Amino acid sequence: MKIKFWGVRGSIATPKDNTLRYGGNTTCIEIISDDGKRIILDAGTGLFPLGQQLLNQMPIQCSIFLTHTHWDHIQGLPFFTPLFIPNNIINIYGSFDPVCNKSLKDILTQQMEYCYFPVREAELKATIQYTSLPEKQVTKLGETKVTNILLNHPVLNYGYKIESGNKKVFFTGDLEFPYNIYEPEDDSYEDYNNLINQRNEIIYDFIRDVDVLIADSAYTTEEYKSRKGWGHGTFDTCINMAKQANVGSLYFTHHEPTRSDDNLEDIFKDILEENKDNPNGPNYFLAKEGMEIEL
Amino acid sequence: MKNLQEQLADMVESMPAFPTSVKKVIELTADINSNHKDLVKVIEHDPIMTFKILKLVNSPYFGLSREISSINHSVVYMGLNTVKNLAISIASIGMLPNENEAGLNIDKFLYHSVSTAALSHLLSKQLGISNKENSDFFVTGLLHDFGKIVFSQSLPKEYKKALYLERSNPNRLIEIEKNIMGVDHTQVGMLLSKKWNLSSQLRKAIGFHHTTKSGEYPDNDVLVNIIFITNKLSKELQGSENLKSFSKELVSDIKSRFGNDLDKYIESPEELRKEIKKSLQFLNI
Ligand SMILES: [Zn+2]
Ligand SMILES: [Zn+2]
Repeated sequence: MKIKFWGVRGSIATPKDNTLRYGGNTTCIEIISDDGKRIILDAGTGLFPLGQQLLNQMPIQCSIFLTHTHWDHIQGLPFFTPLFIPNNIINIYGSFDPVCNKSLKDILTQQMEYCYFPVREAELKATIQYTSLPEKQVTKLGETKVTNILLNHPVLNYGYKIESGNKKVFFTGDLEFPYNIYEPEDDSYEDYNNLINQRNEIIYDFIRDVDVLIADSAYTTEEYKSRKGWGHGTFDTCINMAKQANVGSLYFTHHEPTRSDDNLEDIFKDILEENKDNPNGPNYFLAKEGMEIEL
Repeated sequence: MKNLQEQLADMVESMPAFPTSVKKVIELTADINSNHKDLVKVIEHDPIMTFKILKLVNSPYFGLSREISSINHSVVYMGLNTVKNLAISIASIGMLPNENEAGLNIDKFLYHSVSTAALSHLLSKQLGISNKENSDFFVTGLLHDFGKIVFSQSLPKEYKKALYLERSNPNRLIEIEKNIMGVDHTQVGMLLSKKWNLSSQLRKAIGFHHTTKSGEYPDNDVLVNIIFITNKLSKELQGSENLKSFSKELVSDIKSRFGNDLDKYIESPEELRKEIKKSLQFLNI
């Protein structure tokens, strides 16, 4: 399996001189499975350069799995040139919207309405298929398996596990582990805590033993204090998840948009220092635009 | 039968919630800093919001290994913001009119539902039911009469007749409903909770909350027995402001279903009334 990061920035693209090393495009990850299937995780602005690169391989077939439909995860979609070219086959997977009861197709078509984009969805020339996935659905692409699990974010957000050959990769999308909304003196406090723990165990079990975990680490623990409920994880919650689930390598991503490369590396240095005494623990990496992993 | 189920199910989709909770949801969600647990509490005290949220979280769309039967659990599962926005979208449908065509007084209905919920919760604690399950008792109490509100919204003319006949034949509503509509409100509640994959325990307790003949209900099911009793308790408490003791019939029902385990409450309606007050305070009714 091959993994390539095309966008590692969270929330909004950051074209600045102090984000050049890690990159300013928002979330987009390309995976080529052992049997040659092209899987794209999220369609942030990183999808645009990926699409440009694919132009010399037309016609293409690929599967785009959207963790959720917040802007930073879909903004590259209308600019994904292969959508405009006949004979390409593009399958898009993601969640439905339970609040307005809209299918994935409805949600994405709206993104291309007149006020937002000059070309209507109906005018796209590729063969496009939309699938609103129920949770824990196994999608088989040849020999490759993609399975989704619901993770906590201010909108339904799926984490995806990709299994190819004997290797496994898991990507969280945006994930903030749920916190207790009650105070310790409230009747419901303990019950709520148990529900959270139960839920976390299910998630750790789902991720158990993956080779690569790519996770939302937008904040430091300190920064998180004033950003509770915004829907993102911290370096520490990612590390905890990686340890609980016994993963091989952890890649930190969804870098906070105001985070400079230097700042990111400083934080990372501290993380390595704090975790150096754990030889059986996971290996840590900062996800970087253009970075490739081969499993 | 199939037709009626579909018809009633469609009705529920577009059914607005109770005025007090709709107002509170609008108020709480207008303020980004409002307390999340207050919002959860509002939903927890509205049978329609509760039903709709449980119906969604238990739908095959989510890969649950077992049913979710509380709002707290729904929040942990679907996320706070999704539940919040569901509540907003339910609130935006409008409010149940206080004077509906069927003549079902919805303030009284809500009062009865919430007090049955509160009492079920209290009694389950007294019986040593685990913390984890107490909330199931609350929810089931809250939803036990759901069928009534569905009738009054979907078959108002027929239900008006039923409620009219009930006045001269108290305690025979089930029979009357069956005569007029072919089904009674316990069956409708069961039908809808089955359609929407709510837990089988909840389904049973709704279905048997008026069944008295031994052999016709699962007599060793605590939830079934509790809802049967709390439905009656809350009616007697609601019936008279300064009730000093419960009816002989009710006391003997409690004894036959629970032995002496609930004696503490039989003797003092006051304690139960306090519990109800605590719950209703929250709704300002
Ligand atoms: Zn994001
Ligand atoms: Zn997001």
